[in-house]
Amino acid sequence: MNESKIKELLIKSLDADLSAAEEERLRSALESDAELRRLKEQLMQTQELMYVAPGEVGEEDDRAFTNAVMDKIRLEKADANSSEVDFATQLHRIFPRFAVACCGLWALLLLGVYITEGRLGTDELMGLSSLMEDAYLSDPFFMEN
Amino acid sequence: MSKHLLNYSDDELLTFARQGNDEAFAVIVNRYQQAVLATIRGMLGEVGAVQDIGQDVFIRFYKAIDNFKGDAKLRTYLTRIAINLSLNELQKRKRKSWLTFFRTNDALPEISDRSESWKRKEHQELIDKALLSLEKDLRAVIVLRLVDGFSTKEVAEMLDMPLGTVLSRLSRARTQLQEALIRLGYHH
Repeated sequence: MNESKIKELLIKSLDADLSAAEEERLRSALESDAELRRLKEQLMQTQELMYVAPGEVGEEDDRAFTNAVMDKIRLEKADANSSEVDFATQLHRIFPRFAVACCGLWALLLLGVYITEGRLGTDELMGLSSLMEDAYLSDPFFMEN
Repeated sequence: MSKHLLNYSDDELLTFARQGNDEAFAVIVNRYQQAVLATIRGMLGEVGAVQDIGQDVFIRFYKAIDNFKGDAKLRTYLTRIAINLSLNELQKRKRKSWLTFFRTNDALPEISDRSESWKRKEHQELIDKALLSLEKDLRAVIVLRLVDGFSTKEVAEMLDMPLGTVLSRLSRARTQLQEALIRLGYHH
């Protein structure tokens, strides 16, 4: 087995279980190769170096962090509640305006119909008043006469 | 924070928190903040954003607490959120072209006084710098495996990638880490 394969095996042994055959291969390689033993030692030291707990953190820091998180959560809850109230209030304000706008639109529509048709009956509102005239226009006998 | 809640298990605290007991959630925050912050620090280095992102992890968890079904351990779940938010932050930095500043190997300063004993702070700085010199994807696996101490299988599950990929990334990351540490003045 070449050197790079053995190195791969060595690194793999730090993170995963080796098969019995692989373990045996690595063991015999380590016994015969001082450089490989040194590499293993270096890797183990790097691993230990990384495991050291990061910085000393006092109870005060812990409490400050927890308080900061809980404050933000309370703030978000308050924001959520106020935005719900705001939405309801806005809806309440918008509804009368919406109703007035609709009434105005209806009035304009009726006025438009009255101006064009001259009266405001059911036929005019349904657009049937002009059907009679259309019938005259499309009647060939009427045209001939 | 109520003292009587400190002895409750994660599951019990989660049940209380879901019922609206914020004191119970505060105990969860207190219990896992160091693990979460260690993950973010490993991913981003010792920067001001670590605390903010750490807080964001717990706030997001609070909002989606009902989505946590208990399939994974709470620590694993929180670490996954921390990794995702850290990756987002790295992405943001990349977009702003800041990452090149942090990742350029030339920018890694040497430790000035090598004869000085390894103090904890220097040690932490050294690790931060070495980790920051790794590629983003390699950093995630090495932080989870070596800094947070998760098993290789857990790392694979957390990052949603095959075990073989995690192993090969770990192998590359270990080599790069070794080189970075030597470059930074750490000698075995």
